[in-house]
Amino acid sequence: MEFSIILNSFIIYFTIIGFHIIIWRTLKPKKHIVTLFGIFILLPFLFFVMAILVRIHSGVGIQDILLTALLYFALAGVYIQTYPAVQGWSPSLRMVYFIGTAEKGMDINELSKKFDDNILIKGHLKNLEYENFVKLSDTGGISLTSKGNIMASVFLLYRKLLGFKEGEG
Amino acid sequence: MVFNLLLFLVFSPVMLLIFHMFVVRLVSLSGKPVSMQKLLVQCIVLFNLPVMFISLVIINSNGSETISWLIYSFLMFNSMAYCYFHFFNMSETARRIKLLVGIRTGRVKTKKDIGIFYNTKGILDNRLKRLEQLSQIYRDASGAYFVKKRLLFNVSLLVNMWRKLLGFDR
Repeated sequence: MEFSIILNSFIIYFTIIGFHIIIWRTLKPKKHIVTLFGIFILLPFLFFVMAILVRIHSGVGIQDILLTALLYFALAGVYIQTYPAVQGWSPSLRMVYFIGTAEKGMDINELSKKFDDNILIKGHLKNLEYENFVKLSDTGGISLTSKGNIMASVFLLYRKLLGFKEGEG
Repeated sequence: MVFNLLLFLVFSPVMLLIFHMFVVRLVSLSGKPVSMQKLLVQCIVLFNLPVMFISLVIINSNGSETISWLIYSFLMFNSMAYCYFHFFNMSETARRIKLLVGIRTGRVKTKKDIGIFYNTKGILDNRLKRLEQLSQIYRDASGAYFVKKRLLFNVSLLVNMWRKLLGFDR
């Protein structure tokens, strides 16, 4: 295998990262996860399919494109999995950030002032509704959509497989 | 060879999941409190050894090509293992998953139920406990928290920088 396969995967990956930054700064998409999938998965997928078709048409092998594509998608998965911690400013990271940047450390009362229900919970509920995982009724009722139901069931099953009770959040 | 290696690498996260399940159940038997995130990182680091060994057996060639293949296998496995780590982490800590599970299990039926099921104090307490278990922070006698190891603090600086780059908080 030529080293250029690894290099090409990284070049495509960083090109897509650059494209993602431009889109986020200019268009500010509201459906973050859907747009992220479009940019990091759908767009490169179409690119790789086209490259494969061109290669087949020219009678050249496609093995190096497949290898490049697989490594690229593995790297894209890394970014997509990291993104929610960036978007939602993960509370754990935020806490460490506040503690680390405070001159004399920070106690629980000072930390509590930096967080409230609006940041920690209500924002997430709105996102879940926007991403079509939950339905909110006018009377304040909350229910899962089929997409939300699948998601919750997958995580419940996974925790069961590990022999754990549900996560503490 | 290429097909066998790719097949092996694509299924390596499934093998990691089985190994993780086995280790978690084994550790649970001891009854000692351990950080589950730390345990999974240790599992991933350890699992690199059989993955690299099996990759080497499948590659079965000499010279510079072997090094490229090993780097490829290393990047592929660790990228997928990182995704698996985040999946586990989501099941353990993600607020949105906690909410979805709460609704699914019938404990959250209205907006009012959320405050009883999940509140700011609980969120902060859980995280402080986990960060102390991971040796990332410590608490002095006065009750103030300080950074102990700088890994997560440095990650938080990176996240803060990346958020600015993406145009959040503007």
